[in-house]
Amino acid sequence: MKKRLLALAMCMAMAFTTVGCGGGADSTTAAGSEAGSEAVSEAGSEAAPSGSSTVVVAMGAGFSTLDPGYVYEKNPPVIINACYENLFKFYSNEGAPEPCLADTYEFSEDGLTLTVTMKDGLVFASGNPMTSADVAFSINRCKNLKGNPSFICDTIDSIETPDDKTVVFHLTQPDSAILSKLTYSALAVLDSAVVKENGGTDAEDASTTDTAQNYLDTASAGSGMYVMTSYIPDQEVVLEKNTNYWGEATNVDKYIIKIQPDSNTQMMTLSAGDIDVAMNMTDDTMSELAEADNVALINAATKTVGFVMMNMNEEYGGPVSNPKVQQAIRKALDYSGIQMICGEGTITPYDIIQSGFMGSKGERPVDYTNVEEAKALLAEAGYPDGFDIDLTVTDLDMEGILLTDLAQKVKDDLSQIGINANIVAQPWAAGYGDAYRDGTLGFTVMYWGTDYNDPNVQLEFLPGAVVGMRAGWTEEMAPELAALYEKTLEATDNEARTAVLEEIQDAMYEDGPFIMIAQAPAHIGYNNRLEGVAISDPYALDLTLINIK
Amino acid sequence: MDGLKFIGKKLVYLTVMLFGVATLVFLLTKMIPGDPVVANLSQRALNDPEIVAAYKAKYGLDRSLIEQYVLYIRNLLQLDLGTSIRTNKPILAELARCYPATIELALFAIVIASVFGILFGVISAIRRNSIMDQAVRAVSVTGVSIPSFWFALLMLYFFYYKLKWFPGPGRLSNSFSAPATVTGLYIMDSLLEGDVPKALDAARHLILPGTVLAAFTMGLITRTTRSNLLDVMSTDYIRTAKAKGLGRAGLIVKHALGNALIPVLTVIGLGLGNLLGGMVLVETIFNWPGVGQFAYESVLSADYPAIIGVALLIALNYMVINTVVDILYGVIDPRVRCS
Repeated sequence: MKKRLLALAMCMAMAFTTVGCGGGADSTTAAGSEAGSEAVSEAGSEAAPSGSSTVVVAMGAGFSTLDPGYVYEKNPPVIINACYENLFKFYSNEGAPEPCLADTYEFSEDGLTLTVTMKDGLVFASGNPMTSADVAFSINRCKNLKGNPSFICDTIDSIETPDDKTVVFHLTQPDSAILSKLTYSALAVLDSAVVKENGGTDAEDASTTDTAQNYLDTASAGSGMYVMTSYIPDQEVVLEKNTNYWGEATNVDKYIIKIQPDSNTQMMTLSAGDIDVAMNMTDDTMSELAEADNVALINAATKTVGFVMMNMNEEYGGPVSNPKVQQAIRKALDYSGIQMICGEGTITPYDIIQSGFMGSKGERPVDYTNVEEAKALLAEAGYPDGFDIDLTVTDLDMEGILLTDLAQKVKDDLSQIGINANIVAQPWAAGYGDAYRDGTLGFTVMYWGTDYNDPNVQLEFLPGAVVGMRAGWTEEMAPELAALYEKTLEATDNEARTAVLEEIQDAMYEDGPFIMIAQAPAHIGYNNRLEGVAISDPYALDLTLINIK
Repeated sequence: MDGLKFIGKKLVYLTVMLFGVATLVFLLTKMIPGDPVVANLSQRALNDPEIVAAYKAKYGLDRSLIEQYVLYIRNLLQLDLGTSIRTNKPILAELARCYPATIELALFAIVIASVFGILFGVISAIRRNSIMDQAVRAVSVTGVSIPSFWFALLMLYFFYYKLKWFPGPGRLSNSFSAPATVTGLYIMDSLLEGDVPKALDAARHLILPGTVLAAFTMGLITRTTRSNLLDVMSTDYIRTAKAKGLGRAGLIVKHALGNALIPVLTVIGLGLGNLLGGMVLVETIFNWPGVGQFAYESVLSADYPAIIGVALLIALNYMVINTVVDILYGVIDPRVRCS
């Protein structure tokens, strides 16, 4: 009996292993029959991208729609930017927006009107010609859907389309960031005929009457280099070449975008050759790939910035509302140590305008930290022996870096000058979010992702602005600084805007309730058969710039 | 007649239980801290009262708790589980999308766990206190106690990344497109398409996550089988059968195993119920788009309708499985049927 049982167990184990290991031949056959051009890797591994005109990209989860009118999260722009186009586009991460569908543009003297003339010969993937009416429809739809990205249209009062090629934007106020806003994924130009056929509308009641989201989650309706042919939520998105593309296309025929939330999984699948690009690597997983022959690595700072906030309202901030205490904390933080925690590629911005933006003054000097000076400032503020304070932190992460880790580092640094910070953890959706928005948090570590790729996003940190008010920093407390908000908006000339932005940074370098502690890095690993892979703040990854060598 | 009465009783029980679960989960989700508006709207959008109002109106969050409850139960009676706040799609459609992936993985895992668990349990019992028994017990204790996320990473690291014996995460290799959905089970749908290589590829993708998920249940089944078989082997009727000269194989298979398997069946049922509820960490690591991942994303977004939908599905799983187990008790042991 026992021999029979053992024999049975052995047979089952062998059968189990055979199915597992016998994949090499099976996948070769399958690749030949199913995917034709796609190459196949060694036994047990999935079809390798090497030598194929298909590129496989792994990216994180956390999004639920690919309807441009609703997209707001970090990853969907990868797909939207490949399938749709905007009037303007960022062709590099550091540059200014450049015309894409637009041919020429002109601001009126009072800055309240922007006239854009579109290129000739623009067509959608459907074959429909693109006109200015499509632009007006797309932007009005985004505005009236009243979704997450609708704020981007706040300064657009109305849109006129005097002819098929001209779009006239009437603005509620001069807006020096309007060109950057027009690059935003939510303002991508939709094929209005197709979208209307599928329940779309740009009417004022679109938030309740538009039903095109279901369609736009299964197919794209744009003019981009690619068309979306399949989207399985939380699994994969497939993009194929747009045969009606009006511009010059790259040599990548097809993208398979795998949703892989785990960075270890991305590291292993990239190393095994099953994917070409791993978008959401971490510092740890990058080090695993340092020796890999076929993989290239990018570590570079994004414009997502972590900051310490000290409430100016004494009722909530207590001792940290004191400007001298704020200066002491600024001097006590070990910025190099924070960069080490965040990983390779992290930088500390000079102040509220991140390095990489127009008008940025670069990085905070490495020798800024001075514990003795910090202690002196604390004594000057009336706290020679320090004090105890709650440091509230939430359950979010900044590009994979836990805010709790940053809070722990801040706590350690402050203990050097006698401040005993007691870390209080509070979930975002269960109290922290409300308190942060209401301006009732006294002392916290938080992060800020750029809504759109323009330095004006950072103006919200000024007194009286959205984030400024969360720190209890009213316009009356610093009227001169607050006035620079409008001055920046009105500066449609880049030189003038740079001058105002520098003025703001100088004013906030040593003062105010915000300390910018780190620009989070992004870590991308990619197969070195590709070129043109780069970190992109507006699109996360610009697929339209990638070629196969 | 008795059979119909039994089924009727079970159906009434099922309906009452589902209603209770729906009510309880509805109240619990409303009581726990967490605001779907804060969880789903951006910081910018939260500052715009018009957007917040439109959002609340769209998902009925501006109504009173009682109104929301009455509406929910009324829709539930029409088999409408509502619309997901996160994805803006009907919950029923979302569950129909995720559940087959979980079913396929869970069935694979439970078959592995049951076959190997019973086999190891029997070997361990008949070779009591031998080295093999000690080894099987060590394996079963490890299976029960090893954290699944860690085991998943180890399996992936060694058998996919280093040794390349098994395929990596996902349900299919990149060279295959998903089969047309009939059942949602990739192996079955691929076979229905007549694509054997695709079906084999889908089967190979089940091995690593299935083994990880099977480890815990297999450990329990091994231990339960062993202890029950040892109990049964020491009973009088087995001693009598031995005295009559019955061979050991016949003794175990024909007389002992049947009685020893009744508690094992309960463990298998519970294990399957547990697996069908979705295993968040394993699904995440293996990039498996099942109910676990859906539930996790729903909780993060305070997506109440989706959370209630998943809870109802899990409750339904357990109820159906328990009913099947009750019926199987009767098949294995006629005394249960009589009582």
